[in-house]
Amino acid sequence: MEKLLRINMGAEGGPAASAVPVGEYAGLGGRALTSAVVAKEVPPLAHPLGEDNKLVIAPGMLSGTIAAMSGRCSVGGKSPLTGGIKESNSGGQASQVLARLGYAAIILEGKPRENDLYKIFVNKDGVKITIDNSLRMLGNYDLIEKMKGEHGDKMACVSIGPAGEMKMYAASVAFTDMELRPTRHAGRGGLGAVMGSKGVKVIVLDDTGMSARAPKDVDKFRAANKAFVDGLKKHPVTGEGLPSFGTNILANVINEAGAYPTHNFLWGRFAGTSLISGETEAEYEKARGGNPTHGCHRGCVIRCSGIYHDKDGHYLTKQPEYETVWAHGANCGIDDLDKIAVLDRLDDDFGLDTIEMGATIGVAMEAGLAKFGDADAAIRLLGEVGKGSYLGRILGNGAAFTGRAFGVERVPVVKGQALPAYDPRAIQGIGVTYATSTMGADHTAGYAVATNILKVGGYVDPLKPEGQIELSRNLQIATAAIDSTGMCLFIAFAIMDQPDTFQALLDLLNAFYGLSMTGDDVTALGKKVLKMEREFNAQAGFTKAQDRLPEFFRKELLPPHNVTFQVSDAELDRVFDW
Amino acid sequence: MDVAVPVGRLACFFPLLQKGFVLDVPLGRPIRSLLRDELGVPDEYMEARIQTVFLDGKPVDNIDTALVRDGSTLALAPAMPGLMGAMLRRGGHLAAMRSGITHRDDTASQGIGDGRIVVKLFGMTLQELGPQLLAHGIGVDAGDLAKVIKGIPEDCRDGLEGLDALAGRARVILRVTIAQEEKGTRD
Repeated sequence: MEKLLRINMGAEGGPAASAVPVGEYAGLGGRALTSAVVAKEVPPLAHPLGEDNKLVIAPGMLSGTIAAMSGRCSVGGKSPLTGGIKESNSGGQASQVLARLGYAAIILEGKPRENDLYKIFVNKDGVKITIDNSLRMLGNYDLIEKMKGEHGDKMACVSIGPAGEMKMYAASVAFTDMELRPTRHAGRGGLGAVMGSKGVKVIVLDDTGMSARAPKDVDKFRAANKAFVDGLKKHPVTGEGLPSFGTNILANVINEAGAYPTHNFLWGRFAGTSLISGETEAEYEKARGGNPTHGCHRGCVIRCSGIYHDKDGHYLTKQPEYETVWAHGANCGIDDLDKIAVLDRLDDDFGLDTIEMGATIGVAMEAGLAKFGDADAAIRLLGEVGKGSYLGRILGNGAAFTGRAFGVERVPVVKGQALPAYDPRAIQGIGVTYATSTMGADHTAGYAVATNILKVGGYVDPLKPEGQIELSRNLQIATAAIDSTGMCLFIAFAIMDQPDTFQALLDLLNAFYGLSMTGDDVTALGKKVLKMEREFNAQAGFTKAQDRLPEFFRKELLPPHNVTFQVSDAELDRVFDW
Repeated sequence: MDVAVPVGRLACFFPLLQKGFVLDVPLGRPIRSLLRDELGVPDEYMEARIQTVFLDGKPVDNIDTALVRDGSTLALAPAMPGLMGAMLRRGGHLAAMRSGITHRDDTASQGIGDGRIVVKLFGMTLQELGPQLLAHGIGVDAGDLAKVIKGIPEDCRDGLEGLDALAGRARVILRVTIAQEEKGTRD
């Protein structure tokens, strides 16, 4: 990945592409690269939909190799939703294809002068940028069918749906999966609106004629990959739980913990959870000819994704994930998996973040636009977003915007971004991460490896509440590093439990690049990324006032444990003291 | 209600195990000895496979000191994915992050004699413990059982009472075993 593909959509005479050396960004990938570019090249006070914002699409450091699990793609920019720096990542095929084409990133810059819609085609021979207004307002599914008709089925696509074209702040960037369906999304933060502001509807990538990226030390790389895969397969989470049930295996457990936000974060338990659990979802899929064990990209050995069929056995959508089932399910009082699957399909087609939309519909229900539990009303509300009606334009701009429009107090957002599927009153540590993450409320920002594996900050007594600040800090550092590798974050449990599997990951990186990285180097990378992001946000006007949860989390008791968020502001302000 | 079903149909009853079933047990016992002595769950299995335990909705770190009382709800699950899974894990490194809801041992309120608890199984424990618990006999809500039976194909309902028999009953003791193959089908 020796080059960057810069595409100036506002160039004199029309959009212009140039492949340039990576230069100062050499050695970076994924989130490290997107955040470095945004931090250096985007003025922090730029309008997110303006010509000075950039959209950076970057594979990870190991993408395009034969390393297992290396297919994640990072998308970065200034977020219209949070007003701060954003990295959102996705599975699907595009990361590997882009990396094999030799690009460390595609950077969309500038803004077209006219209102045309563009298709960008990239293969080994170069780049073609064409106006195609016939694509206007196509859902992602129809769009991809059209691209298959034009380019065959050996391609990968990155696209926006109508929501991105309408520059809605909940708009996602869609990535095609192995079956060439637009089911994987860089959902968080409204980066689909940024792509829409650049006038780009779809990027078609074709790596025909290209080979997998070659490591510096082939034998060591192969051995490390084998050890890595063996470690993932033998671990009960990555080798059994996730392939059997997908991420929605968490529903029953989080519900049992009283941390499953229900009816717009009113309660921590939902009576209908067993009807929408991962266990139930897997049974439906098996009975209807779907598939609960499926990888979202080639080389995935965990296979936590799945394929969901309707009652008649026809494809409906990809297996809705834990976050989606929660957002459109318990958060809205809906206990019908088939209706939730329809909502998931609509989100994918319109190009919307399922977490943001589920939270938004929950706020809309709180406002009285629909009753909690009314799945058909939820589907109608989402339909308004796809149509771009006045109501749809309110809802499509997310939970905070909707809450303001309808005078709702209980709006679960941090830095303007909706909270994911864990209530911070029950699990205080996730609340620390929600409040302080550079990304806004984000459950994946503090994922990954435990303190004791990375040996950062010393050993933390797991039973002492005081350890939560340090743990959140270290997890955010580790996650920032792992997001840079292009590895799927679900490797985290295996590498936390099995030091030899974590070592295998380091060995993969070292064998590929000819380095001698250690756990400390991984930590240093994570810290560097977080520091860049924090500095950007500060210059964009963020203060510690933005590192806070909404007030209701401190005031409203959450049943069944009847707890409130207890971590003090002073403690939250210590997270980034290192 | 005693029923025998083909092995492939056992999973039809798993929703009952997810939602929760009733067991009569001696009180004041630690979770580990209850599972081992009353339900025949080996220690090795508990160590290797039951990595997430809740008692009355609170994550348990020590199954040798957490005691069940009358009316307790005990939920068992394997290791769970992601950050949340790590936080909720029995004795995990990230337990501090959920310290506000962690189970605290309280010997004063355990009770004596026999009592009734609700048990829930999630994830792989459904497949791994479900069959032996179904064979042991579990107390389930009659309405929930009626819904499950309705979902089982007609040709697999041999031995099941008519749905009408469940009407008006609040709870049913259900015992499910694997059906023996018909001798004639082997010829």
